[in-house]
Amino acid sequence: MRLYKTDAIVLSDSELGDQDKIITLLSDQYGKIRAVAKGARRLKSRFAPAVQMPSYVNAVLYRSQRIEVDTFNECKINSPFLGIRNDLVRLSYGYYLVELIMKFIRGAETPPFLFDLVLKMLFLLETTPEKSLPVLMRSFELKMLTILGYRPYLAGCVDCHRRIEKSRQVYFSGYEGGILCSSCSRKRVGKLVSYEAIRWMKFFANTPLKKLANMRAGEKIEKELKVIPESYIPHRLGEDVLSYDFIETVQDLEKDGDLEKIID
Amino acid sequence: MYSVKSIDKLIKEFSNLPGIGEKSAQRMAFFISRTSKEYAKRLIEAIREVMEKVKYCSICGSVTQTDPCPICQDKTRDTSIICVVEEPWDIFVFEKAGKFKGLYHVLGGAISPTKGMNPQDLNIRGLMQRVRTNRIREVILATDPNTDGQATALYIAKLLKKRGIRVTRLGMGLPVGGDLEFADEDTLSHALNGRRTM
Repeated sequence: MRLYKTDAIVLSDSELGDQDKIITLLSDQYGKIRAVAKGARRLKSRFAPAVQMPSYVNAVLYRSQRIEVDTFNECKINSPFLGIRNDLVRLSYGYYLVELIMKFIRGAETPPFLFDLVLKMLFLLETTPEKSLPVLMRSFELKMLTILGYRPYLAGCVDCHRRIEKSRQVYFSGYEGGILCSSCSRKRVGKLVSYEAIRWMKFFANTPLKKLANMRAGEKIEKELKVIPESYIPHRLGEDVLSYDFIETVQDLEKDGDLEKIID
Repeated sequence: MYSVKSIDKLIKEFSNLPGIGEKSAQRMAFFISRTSKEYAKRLIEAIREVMEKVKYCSICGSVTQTDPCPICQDKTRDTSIICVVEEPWDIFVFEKAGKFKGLYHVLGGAISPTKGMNPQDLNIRGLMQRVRTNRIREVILATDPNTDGQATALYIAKLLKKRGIRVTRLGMGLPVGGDLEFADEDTLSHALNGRRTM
């Protein structure tokens, strides 16, 4: 039984009874935490404004030896990320980011640097021009996968380990965990991607997020790079990331198009 | 282990209710076992009546005994304003306050992509149809003041603004009876933006 203090990012909430909420947090020192915010469903609750996804908070929590869920004692907002919460496009990326962390981090242990990466990404998500958000998100995904030990194999063919030559066709397989040369892809399933797209992947994995804040890779490359969220990540997780579709839905809405089709 | 089959059955049914755990279900079941037959009959009758008579309004999506609901049928209400709420019980709160004289529209939840609730799962299509076929002057978005509520409001606002309709959101700011020193950044900025001349 003890009180402890930690910086944390609010990942999600679920209702508990008539007045309380269970909040899932990613903390810098204690990994993923679940804690009860008493009265957080009430309009006048002192916790309600602080426990909104994806706020960055400083929380004082009480850990009981008897139950697995902690209890909020205090919660101060470091940054509410209003720029994300008040913009539909940024919010759609925020939901996706939070779901990635929720699904990849199962227990209380968080790998080093992950908290800092998520926090940096949230600050950039608030300020980066909208057009650069897909590039920023691809870079975040690759960095997160690297930290978690799931980085796709891009040095050569994942099967025969031969280097991929520029003139040859390259395939990317989420199932196999990296790129395949044209002869190996006959035996395995892979999606044809350009040599350039692979070079961009390597660049995104190794370049600091901050430097990508105003960058675009071009429509064709950005489309090809969707193999990471659409194929690679679901294969590593063994399930889909539900909020990825919401990014696409919001983008369709932004592009206008047929309103009836959008809500169908 | 000693058990009474009928009580166990009732505990199991009660524990399916939202927010009711096994302990609460047990308390409720034992209360029923001790209560008068008249009360039990009234309870059974009330549940049966809800099951038989209550339905969803085909216009606004609220719970009602008549279709359309009394609010949608009421000729004295302002039909040019629609207040969009997440759940049917939000209408009861507005009606209790007695300040809103327009119509309602129930979405049936809020956008929450991480929980698998997308715009397609809400009654947004019905709202767009009402806006298209009726002379709607204003749509008030009264979704919950949290992240999911805000996502829902932003999404619907974008759809409606494309149709040139005035879209407003319920005022968010300091609660009545609260202390200013406990106000957070978000609440205070909303309160400042919504300040009024005295």
